[in-house]
Amino acid sequence: MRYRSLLGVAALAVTLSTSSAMAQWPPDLSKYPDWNYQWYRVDPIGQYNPAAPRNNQGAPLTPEYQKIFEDNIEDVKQGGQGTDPTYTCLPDGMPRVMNAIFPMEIIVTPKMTYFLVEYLMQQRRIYTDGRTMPADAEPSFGGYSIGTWFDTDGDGKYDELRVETRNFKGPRSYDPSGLPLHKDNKTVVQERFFISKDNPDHLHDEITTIDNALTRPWTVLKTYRRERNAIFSEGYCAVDNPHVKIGNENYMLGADGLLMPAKKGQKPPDLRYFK
Amino acid sequence: MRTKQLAAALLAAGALFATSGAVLGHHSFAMFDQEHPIEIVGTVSEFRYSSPHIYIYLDVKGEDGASTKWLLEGSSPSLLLRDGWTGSSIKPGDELRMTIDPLRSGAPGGAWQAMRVKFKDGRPIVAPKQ
Repeated sequence: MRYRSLLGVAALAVTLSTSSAMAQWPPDLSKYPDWNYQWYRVDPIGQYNPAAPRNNQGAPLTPEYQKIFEDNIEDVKQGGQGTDPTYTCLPDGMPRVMNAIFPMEIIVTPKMTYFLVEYLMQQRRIYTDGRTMPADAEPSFGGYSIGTWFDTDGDGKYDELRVETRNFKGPRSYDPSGLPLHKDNKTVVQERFFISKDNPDHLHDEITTIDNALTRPWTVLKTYRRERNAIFSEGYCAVDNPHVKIGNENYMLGADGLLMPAKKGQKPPDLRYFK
Repeated sequence: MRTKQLAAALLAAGALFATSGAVLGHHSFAMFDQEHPIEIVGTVSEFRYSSPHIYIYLDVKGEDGASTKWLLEGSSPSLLLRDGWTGSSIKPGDELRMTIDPLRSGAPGGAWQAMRVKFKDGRPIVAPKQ
């Protein structure tokens, strides 16, 4: 028994001595920017160009996906949810999660930067440890993100994080308007995070999306406002969500637990298996 | 001066929209008829202070005296908490007067915004900040 305990201690010691996580603790953060506290979106949801109408925000969609988007708008006019998949609590994924519909927290460490997004309790992990994109990672809504820090003004401190994210699964849309990404999920998202030159409490994320539903890369700029009096909430969508999808139709559950139509004149679902 | 006043008004409107607007939620609210709001009065059976939407279950008596349970979808705790809303701002048994955007289908459901909900006697749900 004592022999087995000794073996266990020895194995643990080897593990700790070879673990990169134990290479330096606490990590030296002196070269990294302070992006602490809580960040609120400044932009209206799904509005990348405030001067343009919500349903015409300038995404250079291919004709095929423009038609999909317009059909989606017609469905929404009838009370449907069109091509927006998140009403049943599916995660936003990228790039939609960076709309930050609800606040987010950013945690910077040398090897990884975390984005903790209150809405749906989504997390982003951005690896900054020098790795390359893995060939065998499972596709995910948030994708696989690799970042690199830059010192753009040469003052010896990093001030810009550039990130590339790939390896997605879907369905995903850009925002609640249903603006679609391609079903092949071969999206590439490139981001540039930096603090505003005019306001140290404004963080920008310049997002460029490369996607087969677009005729060219599409770049938008998002801004977040730092809230130093942070209040964090829990955001589990499934707890009380009354929106349900049956077949290709969206319905709602009523206060009495019964199914309600969401659209005027909507037919009930196919009940052929209820005999 | 007028420009400054206009800018201040727009800022105030923007702040109100950011904290109280339920129309642009995490999903489309198009199933709710935002062009034809209605007023309903009833008694709260449940107040579900959950994210991304707060739900009020309201028992509403019709002209025939029969009660119908309404499901009413509102804004989010994370957007309302800085206005003073909490999970106990509304309790079962409270009587509310609400202006809602009803479901287009005619089923007993609708959407509400914080600024359009009051207690039946006219008191605000959360006292305005001084």
